[in-house]
Amino acid sequence: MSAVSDRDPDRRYHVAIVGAGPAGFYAAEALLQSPLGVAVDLYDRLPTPYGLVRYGVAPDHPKLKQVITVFRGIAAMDGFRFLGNVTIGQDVTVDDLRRHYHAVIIACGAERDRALEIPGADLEGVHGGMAFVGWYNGHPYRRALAPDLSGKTAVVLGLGNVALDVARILAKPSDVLAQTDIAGHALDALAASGIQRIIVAGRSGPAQARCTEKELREFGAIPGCVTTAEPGDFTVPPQRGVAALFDRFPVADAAMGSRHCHFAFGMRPIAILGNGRVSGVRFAKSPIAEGLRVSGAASEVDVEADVVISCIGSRATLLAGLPYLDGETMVRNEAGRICNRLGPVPGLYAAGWIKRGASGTIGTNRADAVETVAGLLADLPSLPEPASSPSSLTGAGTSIGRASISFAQWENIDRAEVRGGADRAKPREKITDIAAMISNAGEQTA
Amino acid sequence: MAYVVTDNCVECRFTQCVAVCPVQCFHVDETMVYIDPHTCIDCAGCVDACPVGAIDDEFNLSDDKLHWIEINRERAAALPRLTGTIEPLPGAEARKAALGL
Repeated sequence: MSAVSDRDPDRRYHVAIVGAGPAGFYAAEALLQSPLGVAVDLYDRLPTPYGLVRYGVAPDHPKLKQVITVFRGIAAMDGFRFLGNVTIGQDVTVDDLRRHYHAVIIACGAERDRALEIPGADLEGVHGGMAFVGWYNGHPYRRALAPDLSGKTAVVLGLGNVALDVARILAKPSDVLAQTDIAGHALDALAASGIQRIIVAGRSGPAQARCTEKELREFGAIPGCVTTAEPGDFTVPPQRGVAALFDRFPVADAAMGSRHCHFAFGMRPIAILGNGRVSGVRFAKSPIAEGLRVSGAASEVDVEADVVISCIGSRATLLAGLPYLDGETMVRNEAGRICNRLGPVPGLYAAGWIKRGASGTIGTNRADAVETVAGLLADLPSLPEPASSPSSLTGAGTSIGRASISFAQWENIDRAEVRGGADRAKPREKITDIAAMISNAGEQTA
Repeated sequence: MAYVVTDNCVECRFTQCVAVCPVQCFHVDETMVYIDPHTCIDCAGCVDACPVGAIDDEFNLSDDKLHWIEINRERAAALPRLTGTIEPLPGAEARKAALGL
């Protein structure tokens, strides 16, 4: 790895970005385009870049992952460096970064599942959606989840796109998933799955569901799976939006497929049932009228469940020393300037989900990062010079210099994955173990 | 399948869509923007960003709007790419109001 000191001398400012997902890449792009002359070090705790594009986007949505072409273009821009395999908060602190860079952008997302906070939520067989998605996408920290799919019924809580991704992956035949870049361990588990019924239960009515039409439409065409939905009680059938799509699913399962997916509405979970291991979910069930949940008339309903995946939102990734808002959905910030109680913290910024909460599409992070960088660039000429140079933190003789994975090294990992996939007619076989990633990364080059 | 810019964009050209496009698939002329279907990754982010509801999934287009698929394909191929937002056209707000939006 080259030391920063011999980098482009025209770039007099150095900015560190924490988290190499979409927000981090788009922030890097906006900084590198600035005429002020900014060099960017993009850090990630994993040796792999792309964040939720790699570990969140479902394996059967390859078109969305084509955004990686854009990220590769950003990585090829002058002044860009990737430093993978560096955990901020462990290998270096945010304050360390602030001492070596003019500015730091925190863009490490919202990786923590929002807790269910009902009795029984900690029973075996209850998983969070972010964790489950990370598991089937081969996230190294989520491999150990190894959900038990030997039972017959899965209950998915929530009606957002994460819930729909989870339900669809459980519903799809494994020979279809085998043609994707799904993690090998997940493919094996799903091929052996005993799941026949998938109940997707949301608090809202069908007209209030947060999922997108495109995600929902896919449920009409899953081989071997019949999808049904609770009626929305519409006087006039809706013509547009997710309500119309829900309304067109049959009410009851007439032609039994090998699998059955059912959407249920007005279902607020009040307890996970079971003794040691989950056996069901108790809901407060509200009636639905004109596609909307009717409040105040709930009755208790118990639904059998062998595994529960709770997709009810996520919370900001925790980094020591950052000011979080109540509920920890995001860090306190004003248009990307991270603020403590006294106001903006000089040189410290946020972008992406940790800035605005877990919402939007991949491209939302582009507009979001551009906003943050506009503020940063306005502040930059008046920010103090850092105490030390980035090279004293990341240079050849430092622990980060020795351990970090460059973009060229990631490309070696990438090629190894694509080669591994070719043997199995998959687009890639993800390497899911950090040590194995590093052994495929090759040598650092000067 | 891709997303398609339709007639509501004509004489508006607000371009909030361009700010949220992750792959910069918008192209522009003097009246409106167009989506390059070969670059679009179907993320749907532009649909909600458009203040005049001009963008929709191919799948949702009514018969009288299907011709916009071909218009987007042809015009995007012939026109320059737009990488950031630009000023809306002078009559944009009036046109938006006329659309009842």
